[in-house]
Amino acid sequence: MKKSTKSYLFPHVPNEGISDNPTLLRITITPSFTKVDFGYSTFNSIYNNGGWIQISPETYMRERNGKKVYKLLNTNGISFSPNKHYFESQRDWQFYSLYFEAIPQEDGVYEIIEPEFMEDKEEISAAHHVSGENFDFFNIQIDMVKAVQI
Amino acid sequence: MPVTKNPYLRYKAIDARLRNRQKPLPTLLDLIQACAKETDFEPALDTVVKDIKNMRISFHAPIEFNYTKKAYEYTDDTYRFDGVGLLDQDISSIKNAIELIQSIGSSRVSGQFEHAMEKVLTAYREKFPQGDFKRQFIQTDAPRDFRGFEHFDLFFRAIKDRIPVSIVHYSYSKHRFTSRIIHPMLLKEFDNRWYVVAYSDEHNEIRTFGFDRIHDPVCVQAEFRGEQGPDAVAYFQHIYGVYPIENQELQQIIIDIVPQELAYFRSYPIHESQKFVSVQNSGRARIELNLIPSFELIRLLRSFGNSIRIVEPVWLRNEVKENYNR
Repeated sequence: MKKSTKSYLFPHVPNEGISDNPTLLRITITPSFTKVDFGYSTFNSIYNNGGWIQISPETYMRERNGKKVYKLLNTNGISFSPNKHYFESQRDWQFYSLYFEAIPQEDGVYEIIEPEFMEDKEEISAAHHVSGENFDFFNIQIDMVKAVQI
Repeated sequence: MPVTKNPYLRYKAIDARLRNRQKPLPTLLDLIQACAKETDFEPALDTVVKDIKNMRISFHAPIEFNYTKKAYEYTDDTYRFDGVGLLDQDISSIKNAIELIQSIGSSRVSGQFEHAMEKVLTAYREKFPQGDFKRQFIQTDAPRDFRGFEHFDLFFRAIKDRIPVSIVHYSYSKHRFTSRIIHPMLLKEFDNRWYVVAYSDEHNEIRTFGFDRIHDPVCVQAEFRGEQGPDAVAYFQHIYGVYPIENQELQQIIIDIVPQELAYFRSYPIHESQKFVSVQNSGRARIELNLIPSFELIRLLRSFGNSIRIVEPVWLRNEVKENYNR
């Protein structure tokens, strides 16, 4: 089968996150990677300075009910743990992107999972540890009808 | 642009070396040395090969490689690298314009324009080294490197070629990110800030988006719907600023001003609709504006403090007072 050379952007992607902060904003599927854009606001953070964010390099994307796993390749705007991106206040925000291996350019349902990890013997889960909330996103619906080519 | 990276200086050096009758037929190494002497930085061999190619394509330079002597030469002695026929009067006008742009700062407009201007300025400095470059004689209020200005070229192209753009927008007031497809129609500068005015699919109307709130704009292949809304320039005709207050129509605004402010309102009208209704002997005056009220108008009126009094509409008077006391 001839491999697609096209790239598609999904401006709106239905999904179920643990909370709406961070928000999964957009997904771009190219022949060589999948880019997932997120936005995080420190508004209402429990930390006076807004806290910090990071992402585990072990984070992955997977098909729902499937075995196929797509590894995290790179990030932009967020640091791999143990490094952190620190905020300055409760009025701060950060746009960031996670780059995974390329998922198929066809309809599908996916999940993004950040495994729990240990830091300084204290168990911390999720990218947005400041609030103790989990980063995972479920039921990410890729519907090719809703894609625009870029 | 650092002088070491400026290709035009190298082109000049290559041109001069090829034209040197004392040492004809320079080799590639001779050309590299000529560039190094001109820029105090030795360019890579590939760079000079590309420069020669660019000179041939962009400037129709008749540079040929002489395989017998393994050297470069001009095959047309009449060719002039900078041979544009300008009269003294033309040169004088261009000098003035260039020095003006230099003073204002070409980066105020866009990265591409700055790059283009750098080429012109380099050529100009070459030709007129006595030019008045170091002395700044105009100071503008434009801050450099503010957030989002890097989007200028993308939106400029999107408007020109009618291309929809996917953006991520962060609302300062709602503290919330949203992903949108917009159809850019106009770039607008107000109060030293840049905005893109666009038809928004999500809102089904024209909206204004500050560059500083936009993240990662991407041009997309979709139908352009920018023509669906009203003309973008006409849209701003009755607005002071960029963000009109929702559900407010074009309306008459009457303001009394103290004598001390009269000269300022005469010199710098708030809007083209501003008219003086009355001016008393003391200098106390009443002006009238016809505008769709905007957040920027409220901010401006508040900045006058007790020097003005809004007569009508009452809601605007209360709004300004409320903001002022906040």
